Amino acid sequence: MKITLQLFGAFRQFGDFLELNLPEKGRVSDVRSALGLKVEARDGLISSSRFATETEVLNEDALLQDGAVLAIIPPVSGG
Amino acid sequence: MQGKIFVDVWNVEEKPLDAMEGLSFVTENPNGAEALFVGTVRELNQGKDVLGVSYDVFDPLAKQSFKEICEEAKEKWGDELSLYVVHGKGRLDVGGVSIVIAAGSPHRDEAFKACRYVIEEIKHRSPVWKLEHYADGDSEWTKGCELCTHTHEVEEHRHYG
Repeated sequence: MKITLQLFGAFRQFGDFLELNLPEKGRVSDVRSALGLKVEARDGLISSSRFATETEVLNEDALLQDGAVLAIIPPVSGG
Repeated sequence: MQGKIFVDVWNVEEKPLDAMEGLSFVTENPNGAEALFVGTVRELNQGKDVLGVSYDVFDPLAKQSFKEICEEAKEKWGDELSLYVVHGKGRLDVGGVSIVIAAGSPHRDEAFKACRYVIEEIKHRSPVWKLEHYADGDSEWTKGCELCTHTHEVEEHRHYG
């Protein structure tokens, strides 16, 4: 299955979004693994990031649908 | 009287943030106190001369988080509380306004506390990122706060997409 990942913050260096291939019945944890194989982010950046939809931050075991659009949420610094 | 909430994100390169707009929004006859927080770009950060900051925002989730934080503040300090939150995105020079938070309440204690609560929670929870531009020509994303893992519980078979 395929998902689209919108990129923010320090991940902008890799573009505005990435398409990732996941195993069937993929979960958020699979997105994290697939991203690690696709980009060379600085140490600890992927592990310190979360994944979200437009309305909520997801847990690692959340199941995803084929074609899902997620966003990566690296450590935040608003204000 | 029930207070009201306004949250938004907009491009500061097209429309600068306006603290007076926030103050006007929360100023109503039942209120005797209005507190205002204005965040601006500082010229020095961790020993480096800063020329400006570019703000990156995941708008829908940011606005959702602002709403949730405002609702939490109303639960803590009363439903009469009115709140205004606007965060900027895009590039700002030093002194530029990046966020405006206004809180209006019948009494000052609630207004001060709510205003402080909203800015602290936004800093820890809202999907906003800063790219600092330095006088030496470098630019760097600031380190930021890692989101906690105790946000929403996800049902076993819930799907997202």
